[in-house]
Amino acid sequence: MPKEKAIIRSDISKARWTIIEMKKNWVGYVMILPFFLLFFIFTVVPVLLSVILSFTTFNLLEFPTLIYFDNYIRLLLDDDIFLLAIKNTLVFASITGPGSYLLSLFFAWFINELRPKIRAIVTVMFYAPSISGSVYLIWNIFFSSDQYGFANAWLLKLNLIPKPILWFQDEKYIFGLIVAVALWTSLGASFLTFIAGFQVVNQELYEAGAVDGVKNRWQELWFITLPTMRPQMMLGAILAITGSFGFGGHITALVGFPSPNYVAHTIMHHLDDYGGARFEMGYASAIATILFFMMIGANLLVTKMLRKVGS
Amino acid sequence: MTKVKKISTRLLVGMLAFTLLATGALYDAGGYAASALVESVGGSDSLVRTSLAEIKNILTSVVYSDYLKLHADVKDGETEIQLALADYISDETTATVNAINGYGGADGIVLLIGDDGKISWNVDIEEDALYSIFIEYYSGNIEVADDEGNIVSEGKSTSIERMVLIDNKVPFKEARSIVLTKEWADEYTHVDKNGKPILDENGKKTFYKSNTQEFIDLILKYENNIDGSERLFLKDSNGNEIRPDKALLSTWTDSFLYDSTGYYNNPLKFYFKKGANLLTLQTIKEPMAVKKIVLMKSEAIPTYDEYLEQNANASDYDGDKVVMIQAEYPTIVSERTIYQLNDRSSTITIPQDAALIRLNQIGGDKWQYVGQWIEWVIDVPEDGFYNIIPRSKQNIYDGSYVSRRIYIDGSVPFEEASYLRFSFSDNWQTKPLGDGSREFKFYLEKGKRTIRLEVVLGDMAEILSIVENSLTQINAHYRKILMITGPKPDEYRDYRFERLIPDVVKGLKAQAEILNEVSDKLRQITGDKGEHTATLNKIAVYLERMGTYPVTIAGSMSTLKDYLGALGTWLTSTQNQPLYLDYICIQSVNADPPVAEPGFFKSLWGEIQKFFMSFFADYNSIGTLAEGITSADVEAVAIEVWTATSREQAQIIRALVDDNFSAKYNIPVTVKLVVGGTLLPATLAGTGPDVSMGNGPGDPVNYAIRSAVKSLNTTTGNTNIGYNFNDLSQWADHPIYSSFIDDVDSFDVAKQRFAPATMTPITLYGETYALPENMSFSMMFYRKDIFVELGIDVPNTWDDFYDIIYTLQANMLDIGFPAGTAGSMILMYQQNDTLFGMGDYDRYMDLYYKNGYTDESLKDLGYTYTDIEGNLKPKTDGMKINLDSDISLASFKEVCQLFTMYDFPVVYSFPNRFRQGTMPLAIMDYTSYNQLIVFAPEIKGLWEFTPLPGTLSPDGSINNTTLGSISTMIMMRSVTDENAFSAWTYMQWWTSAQVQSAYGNEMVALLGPSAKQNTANLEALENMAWSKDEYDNLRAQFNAVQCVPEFPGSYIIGRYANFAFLGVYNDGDEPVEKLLSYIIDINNELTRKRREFGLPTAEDFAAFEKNLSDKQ
Repeated sequence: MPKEKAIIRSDISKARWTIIEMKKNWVGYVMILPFFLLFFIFTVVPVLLSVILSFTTFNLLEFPTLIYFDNYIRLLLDDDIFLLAIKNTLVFASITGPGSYLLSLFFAWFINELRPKIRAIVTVMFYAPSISGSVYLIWNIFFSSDQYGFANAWLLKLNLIPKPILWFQDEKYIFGLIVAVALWTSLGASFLTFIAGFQVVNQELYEAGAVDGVKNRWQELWFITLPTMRPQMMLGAILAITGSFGFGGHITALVGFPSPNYVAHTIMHHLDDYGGARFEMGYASAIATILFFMMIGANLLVTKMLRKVGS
Repeated sequence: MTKVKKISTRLLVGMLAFTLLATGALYDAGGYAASALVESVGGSDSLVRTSLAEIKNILTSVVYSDYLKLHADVKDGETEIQLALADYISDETTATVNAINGYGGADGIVLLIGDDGKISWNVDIEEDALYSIFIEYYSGNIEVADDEGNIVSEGKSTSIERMVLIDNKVPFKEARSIVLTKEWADEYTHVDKNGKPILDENGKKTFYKSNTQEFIDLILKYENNIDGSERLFLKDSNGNEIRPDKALLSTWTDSFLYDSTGYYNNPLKFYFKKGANLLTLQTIKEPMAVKKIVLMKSEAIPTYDEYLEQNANASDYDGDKVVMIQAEYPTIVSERTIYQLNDRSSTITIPQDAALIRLNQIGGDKWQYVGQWIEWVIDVPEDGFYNIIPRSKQNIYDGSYVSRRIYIDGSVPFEEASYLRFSFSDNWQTKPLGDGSREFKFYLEKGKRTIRLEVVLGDMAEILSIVENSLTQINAHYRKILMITGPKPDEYRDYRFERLIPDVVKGLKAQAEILNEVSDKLRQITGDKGEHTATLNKIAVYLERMGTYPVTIAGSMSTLKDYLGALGTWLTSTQNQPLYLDYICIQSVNADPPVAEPGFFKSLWGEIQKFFMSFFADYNSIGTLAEGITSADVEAVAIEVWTATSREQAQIIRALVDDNFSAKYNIPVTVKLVVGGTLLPATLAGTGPDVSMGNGPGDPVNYAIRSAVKSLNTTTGNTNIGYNFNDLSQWADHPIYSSFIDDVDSFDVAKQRFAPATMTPITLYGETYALPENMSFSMMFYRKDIFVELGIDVPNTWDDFYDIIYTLQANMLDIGFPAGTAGSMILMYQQNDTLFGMGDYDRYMDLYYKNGYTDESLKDLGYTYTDIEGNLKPKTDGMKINLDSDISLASFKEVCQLFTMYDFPVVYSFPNRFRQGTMPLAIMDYTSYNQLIVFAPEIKGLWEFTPLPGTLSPDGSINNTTLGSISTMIMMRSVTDENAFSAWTYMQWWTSAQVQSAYGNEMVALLGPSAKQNTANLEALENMAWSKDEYDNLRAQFNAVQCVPEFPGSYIIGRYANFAFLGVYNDGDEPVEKLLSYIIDINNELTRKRREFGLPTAEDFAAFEKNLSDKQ
């Protein structure tokens, strides 16, 4: 075959280059196609639709009418509860997000030090709360509002309280309790990926590090282990963000909907309140859109922070 | 470019995150159910209150075994004494009694006794004696009429239940509930070889009953057909077998009076003193017709050894014939809930089909309660001894066994035949009938013999009876201790129980001994130490310690409470004796029993077949469209009905549609079982149903204001709003409708079936958007025994209620009360206040006119509507919340104080505390009845529900209004002008008394007594198996029920009202202030929502008023 001059990127237009590249790698594209179609139809399209709907008033039963930015104006300027929900969500996310992330990371690190068999057992133990679906509901039994609930019965017995406390119905306790539940259930998928991440670190790097002057385990962790498992940490971060922003379901199951005096009302709840109870899908879509951008923002922030790891 | 890539990556990552989030957020849809309520004015005076004295006569703590010991020296009466039925003592009789000669083919006088009281006879006895009571009664439904010929009491096809009193006292506890079962037969359709009905010359199906000779001949003819090619069941179009209906037999039957709990295997004996005795039968359930009542000695039954001796000259059958009767072909059963079932677990269950439903077994949990029996007929080839071998399965109670008693030709052959055991196994078993230690052979004469198997407790009877007594005693002791210590005993304090309540301390010790004994006995019977004995032993140890060292009592109370709960549960579950039967065969004593389960390869092949057939069989289609309907006309009127209930319910609905609706109206109906939450998206997409069943109370109005639901009585003539089903004449000329239009009720006629209040939540500004299906409301549950113990009366008014709070709380007992506005709204409605601002129409119209509106312009804007009387009314109801009225605030404060000052519990498990007696009074939804009936049989007869306490009106009458909640049936906008009338026909058919009764009965039959329906149809409710007292109470409360209306924005009220209550309870806020602080938020939301739908708002009128005053 006669040797041709290789085409380089600057010779042709961007679009043409892309098409040529696509033709060259068509196998890859075909392989990704099934996932891409599903992702596009069931994720990208609904998200776009939701953004479009946020500019309308739509009650689920009648055809939407366009109202431009009214939903956003009302949402940001005339909805006290939404502001409350943003506050709750941010507070909740900023405690449980990093909290659960660090918990997962450190537990994974500690467990990684164990012998393989014990490691497997301990992993299952820590992972159990998050695989067994609604097991967090045992908190409901433990902190039952009944005078015979565990916590109440003990406190009454010790004469610390005069009458049963409505744990999940009392503004004073709700937030603390749900943060505790969130952290307890947080050792989920990200925890597993971290464990996997620790396993794939190339052992030779540690040797090289020792030669290069790594002094202690902390430096090993910071300069070698964590930078190597950055992809896993990225996934863990995304899971932590989604987890902390979308914890609404657990809260509803424990506290009821809406929470007393909106004390645990998150953006997810607000969305559901308007979408489900009040049939205002346009408004709910506007909330969803804002939530969407908030999460992208959080994501950018985390990506930036992760880049600092090991430097 | 890298930047673009990065951003797009982040976007994608964000979207991924969003998907995770969206799918993760599963919300409890129940959380949104808006509060449900209705409106009608009323207060009932027909309160039914049992007096303290009456209750005392009935309550007796003597247990039958103690009663027998008490009269141990009294002999059984030898002479039979037949009561002269017609000579009942009229002074001591309150029931309506008709004496009819020759009723039901009897010779002589028959008494028809109504269910409205008691009947008494005088019995003269020559010498003190114990007698059993033998009674001949009628199994069919009867009607009892008063002197004017009005029917006052009608049979409801349920078991007869009576209380037996001697000299106006209940002699022992078990006599409080004596049950006489009725007899049911299957009603088979004549079918051809393919299971298709054979029609008579008129094109109708023909039927025969399973107790007839015809049926017996048929089953004997098909006896040896085991491949399922010769069957008696009707088949549907797919080829699945359809269960025959059950028919109550109108025959005479007889029985001794037995203990209905099954703790005693022999007929009950009653002590009669020398001279005159007054024997009384007091109604609990059902009228009854009696032919004969005889006091006599029940004959002694020989033991098995004696039985063998008696038949010593008979030889064992040694032929090789195996006579097999399929268990799914009983001739008579004791209850309509015992019916044929489909077993797919074993490939050799006869008959079996890899794809289709074959009704190849009977029993299971339908045949588990004491006293239920099934009877079969079997053809014995020659005289001799046989083994009786059923193919049976008891796979529910691990480590335990169930018991049956066998009757051959109506009598128990020998004593051990009452103790037949079937032990636990995951597989089918074929063992000759035996009592666990040995297998029995039965002497059968040649010819047709009946075999009846009855559920009994067998060897467990005695143990269960002792444990139940013990439980009752310990519960009583527990309550007495609680009355001293309160619910939170201080374990460091010496209460000096041995001085205060020495009986209780001794009693605890005595119970410990009893439980230890029982545990030993149980070990002997079941042969090993299991979970059961462990529970008993643990409690015994505790009681022993508490009895010996009274100082430990306080510290052990909470553990004891848990153990008692466990014991109660054990007791309930052990009483259930489920057993499946595939067939029963008789064969030579020496032959090997038939194979019980297939071999591995046969089983595997069967499973493979089933697996592949599952690709072809359509298990989801609950039925098919009516046959022979092809014309386009008919298709245009076809309707689709959606229900989001369980599969069982959907099946019943389908069956009713097939049997009843299609036969009556020639309209194809498709019933679809859907997942909740699909209704709105489907309606939006235009693929929704024409009728949706089982919707929440707020759904009709909420969907209607978004024009998804049709009005049923609109006079606007606008079919976008709805149709006017009051004027059916518009459909009279329709080619299909005209044939049955006379059978269709108009809206106003259909409306009369329900309590008037039910219309309130489904009506908005003159348009009614639904028909109610179910209705429930709060009633007052109380424990009779505890009220008697404390000497308090059932409260009629709130003043009475406050009086007894003191007594109950002084004894450390709790009261259950609905918290927050759920409670305060009851008080509001009892004082004729309403939740929303209503009425005042003249003022609003006046304001409109003064601001330049005319009737015409108001109408065009949709601000007014025309009501039933034709008056023009503004749509102003529901603009404002009325929680800030004086009455409302006072009521809210009062209810809050019950929780803050009186310390009522906010959260509690009602059935548990009620059965333990620590909460002897509670205001609960009346459907809790179902739960108690099944969950707490040990307190049967010791509790009751009655109407709520009332508020004293200024005129002296008591208003005991309660608030009701309904489920609804709606016509969706998917209907067309063509089939709207079909949809209405379906709706009025479904809510009719006949169909609702049938549905209720089917539900109970299918799911057991806990599935009693709270139908909104008053007539159907009456037809259910309530006892007379229960129904009277229910009816009294029904007369005083109201519902809260539904307006746009209603959802916000419950939410803020709850916040207010929690603020008061948790933080000690001032109730009135707290509630008032939320009023503005609520009103704002109402206004906002009303604007959305273009309805008049409170702010509009405020502006009008301001305008006017500015002008002046």
